[in-house]
Amino acid sequence: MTGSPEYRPMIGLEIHVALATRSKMFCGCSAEFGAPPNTNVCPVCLGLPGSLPAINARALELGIMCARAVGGQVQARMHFERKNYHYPDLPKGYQISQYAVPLAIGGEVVLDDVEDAERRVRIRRVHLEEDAGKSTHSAETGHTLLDFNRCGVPLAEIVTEPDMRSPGEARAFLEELRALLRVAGVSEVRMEAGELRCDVNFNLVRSAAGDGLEGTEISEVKNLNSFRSVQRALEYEVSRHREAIRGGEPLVHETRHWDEERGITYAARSKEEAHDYRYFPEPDLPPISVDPDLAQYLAAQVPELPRARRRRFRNEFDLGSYDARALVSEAELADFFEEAVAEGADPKDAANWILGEVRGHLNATGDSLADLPVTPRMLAALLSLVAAGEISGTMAKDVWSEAVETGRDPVSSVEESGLRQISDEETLDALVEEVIEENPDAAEEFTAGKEKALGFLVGQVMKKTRGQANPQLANERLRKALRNGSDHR
Amino acid sequence: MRMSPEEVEAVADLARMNLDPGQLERMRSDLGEILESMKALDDADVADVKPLFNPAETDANVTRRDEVVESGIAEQFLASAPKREGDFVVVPRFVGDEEEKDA
Ligand SMILES: [Zn+2]
Repeated sequence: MTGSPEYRPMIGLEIHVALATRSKMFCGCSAEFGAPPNTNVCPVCLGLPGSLPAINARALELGIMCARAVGGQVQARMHFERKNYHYPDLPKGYQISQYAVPLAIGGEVVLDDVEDAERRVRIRRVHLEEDAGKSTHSAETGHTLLDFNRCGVPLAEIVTEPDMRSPGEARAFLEELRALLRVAGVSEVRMEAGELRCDVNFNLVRSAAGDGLEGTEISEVKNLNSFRSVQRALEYEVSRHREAIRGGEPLVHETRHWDEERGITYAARSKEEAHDYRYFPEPDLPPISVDPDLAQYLAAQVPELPRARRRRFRNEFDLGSYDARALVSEAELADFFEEAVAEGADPKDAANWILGEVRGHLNATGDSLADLPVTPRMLAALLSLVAAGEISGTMAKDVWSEAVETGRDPVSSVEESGLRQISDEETLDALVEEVIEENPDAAEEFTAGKEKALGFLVGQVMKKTRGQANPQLANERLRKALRNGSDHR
Repeated sequence: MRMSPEEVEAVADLARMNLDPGQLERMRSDLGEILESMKALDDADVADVKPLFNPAETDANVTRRDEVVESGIAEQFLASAPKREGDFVVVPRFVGDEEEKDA
């Protein structure tokens, strides 16, 4: 190795996220995903002559909330522009987007817990635009099939500075961003519905003379639609660029595509990247002024963001960072947790229960918590019975499952079915005496030092009570009785 | 003010147009005339003029409510497509940013 500094990855992302509106950006067509092909179309989104776009007010609001969620400065006055390019999936021959004055400028997303350090990813800008149609290429017939349902669906494009230093960090950023967007209510970010797509800019850099950087030419990998693809494509690029440096091969600044099956990126044909978008202000749409009151009102609609909430869960409830992260990543679990704690549940017990029983059930069934008839109060009451030793953990799980199925209050289930654990010493001592009398051999063995025999005797107590004895207490009382017994002998 | 043949070709490429040499020359002359007449704008004194992005500069935001309105033209649209396959419009293969997998 020479004395020159090591190369490291430098990664920037452009993220397109579909905004959670009912209708499209500039027309009244439904923006819903999964409709039969070419059913949500109209003269505006098909670019038919004489049609005129009209701005969806909700898309603008969600864009502002998106910008606030990443800390961007919403511009008081903005306008739309035409980005000109000719593809069959874009019938107008241009995309309505923003360029000179975007919706918002600046911002940052802080990643905690990444490689045990805090990392900041600066946001360059957030702008609004419309999506293109969906094209499917058929290698068989040599044709392209077009579906214009998606054409005109509102998107926010979030552009980061090249602040990420590893493929894993890029992925962590995307996960954090998804949590932010969900919490802010900007988008459901359903990956399978293509609601988040990502372009990556990548090169390897090292410090050079002065404060400068030198590095390889930038590769742009387009249109990645899963976090895993982003990470894998970046890992592939890291090794491709490293190899080029080793081999002394020059790289060129180019657009590349990701081949999921082969796990490689490949260069786009040079002609298709010869873009010159010739942006100009959209003459069919008036400029937009964002009323400061509206911006403030919308900012207030953005709830506590994941990072702040995680920190609060750690500090206020003394949760570990894994539990805090797991709860906060699903807002409905975090809300349920907070309400259960407010109803008196022990935070640690509630977190364990929600991340175990509740999340397990939701994952297994695909239900959402809102579909279930259980309430935070039920959980708090159940957990306090467990904490007081009145019922065992196993019983708690049983009555909880019943509550999840039927909505029956778990505490009344316990009361009515007599499942309440036998935890008073007098009752247990009487049973313990019986068990010792009935099993003199086992009692003998234990007093002779065979610890295992105690387990058998505890089992006998449990059997007598049909599982309702508090096993820990039974264990204690048996030990005491046997010790006393041997003392008497 | 004449554009170079290369510039005209580049613009034609962006518009996905194939021009034969005769068309290219004619286009070059037409575009030259258009640019010539637009040069009049260079004479305007804009030193004190604020940038204007739209002739309809107004503070009254013109937006629409987020409501679904069915156009009712879906079937008509598909029927008028030069070529269709099921509910899809068929066009010659192009390589784009979209996935290049089979359906
Ligand atoms: Zn439409």
